[in-house]
Amino acid sequence: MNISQLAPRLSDTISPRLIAAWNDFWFRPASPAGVVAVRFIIAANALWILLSRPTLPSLFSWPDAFHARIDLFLRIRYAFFLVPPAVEWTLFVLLHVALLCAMFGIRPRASCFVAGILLYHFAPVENMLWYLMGPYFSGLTLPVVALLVLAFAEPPGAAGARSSEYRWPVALIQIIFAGNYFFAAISKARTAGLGWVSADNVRGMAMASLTLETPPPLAERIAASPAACWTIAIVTIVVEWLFILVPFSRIAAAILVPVAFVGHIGIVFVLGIVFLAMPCLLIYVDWEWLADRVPLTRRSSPAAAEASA
Amino acid sequence: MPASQWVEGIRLLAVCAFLALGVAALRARDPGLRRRRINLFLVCTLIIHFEVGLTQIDCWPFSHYPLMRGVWNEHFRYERIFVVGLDPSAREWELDPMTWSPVFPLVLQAWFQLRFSDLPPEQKQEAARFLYGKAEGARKELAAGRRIGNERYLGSFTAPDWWLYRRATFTSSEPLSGIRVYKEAFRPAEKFADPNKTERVLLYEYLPTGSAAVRHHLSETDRRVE
Repeated sequence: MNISQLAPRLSDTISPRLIAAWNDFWFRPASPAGVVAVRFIIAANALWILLSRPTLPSLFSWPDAFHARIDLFLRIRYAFFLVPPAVEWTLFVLLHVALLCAMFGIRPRASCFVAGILLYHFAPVENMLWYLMGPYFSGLTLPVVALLVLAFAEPPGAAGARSSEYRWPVALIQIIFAGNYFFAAISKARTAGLGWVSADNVRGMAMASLTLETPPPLAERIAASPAACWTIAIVTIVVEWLFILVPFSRIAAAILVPVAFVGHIGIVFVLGIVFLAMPCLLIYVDWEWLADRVPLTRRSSPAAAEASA
Repeated sequence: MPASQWVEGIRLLAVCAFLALGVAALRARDPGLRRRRINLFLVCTLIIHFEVGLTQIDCWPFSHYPLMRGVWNEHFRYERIFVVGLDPSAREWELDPMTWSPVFPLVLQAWFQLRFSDLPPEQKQEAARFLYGKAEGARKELAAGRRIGNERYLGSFTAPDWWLYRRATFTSSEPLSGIRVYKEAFRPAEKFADPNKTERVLLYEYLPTGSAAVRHHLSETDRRVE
């Protein structure tokens, strides 16, 4: 008796409706427009951040005093100090080239893989100085995972036919990015509980930002208005909790994504905090729908493409 | 082996599992096998992602995003650490936040808070000498009207840090004679009413050889003059 006779197949134990729903969500045929657009957005966002940190590898050459207390396992985890600084600079240039190739679909699998691996190495570099929680707010967190997911997916072919291979990578990247908001809500609930949702808390943030490095232009006005503080607190927590619905619901996406975008702009003016991954909200645009109406890419219509497939 | 090292090992393992399952899906040629491997990749990636988010244990690049999660209050006491430049007459100059590129002042502040006090005196001096060099280099460039640090290529299109900083509007026309590191404590409500209502403590002063700056009154452990 072999193992398959002892244990029923997993698919036999799960309801057929659940399997159908799973397959429909992840593998329903999609046009390549989504993959092409998401790849461009993610790679462009990462490239913009890297071009804004042009001397990042120079941190490897800072005096030992800055690196003295870095945990050995942390060094291994991010491959710090395994190669000479000159090699780091070469890899940094290669990362830029890989991102450019990924943006424009040149050798997409290889460029996404190289870019993803090298970003994993370079994104946490400044955290060498003070590593506590990881470089989650550098704007490069989503690109690392997303580029690797895109490297494992089938790249769009020249024919532009619809395929299930173009659906799952986009859906997975959308879910991972939704965690940016949903997990932030969980974090607030676990750390501050309901006390986070209060006018006093938002007023405290605005007042603190008024007295720290940069007084944001709207901080004083917001701090003076309890109604505005309550609105910000409630809208923030509602959007964060509900954002996990965005990858699954067009209505949720249509409402929550614009609210999140406006919220990020508002936070810049009230708290002086910039969300560097904000351009990645564009991954929730229905690129397939848009591409069907605006023929930006060289492809046949969906119906013709299906027929050719 | 310390617990922290086990944690780092598990984090690395999670990333390796993500990569291995993705590569396995990539290499499958048979459509049925590929679909099964993609399913396994999806399930494992979602498990790692939600496990990190729900338990709030970081496993970057799978992150738990602890953004502004604490409670803030205008009457709480907050602290910040910052570095100023000294000109030959010992006048203090605010340094532009791009001075420390590629890192931003918040990273440097965290390093001072977490690491600096534990360093032996010679390493403190080594670090301060390096920071002084960066401060003087940035001053020269700014005085000549050139862009510095992270803004060198993209100028005003440069992605900022996640925190916006006030740019220094003036810089010393004379070479810097040293740097000072301060810790400042304040309560927002009090400081907003009166900007001078802060407690400022000098953590460290660095004066290079031949510096003309007037020496600040410091204990021997904190003053380093080459």
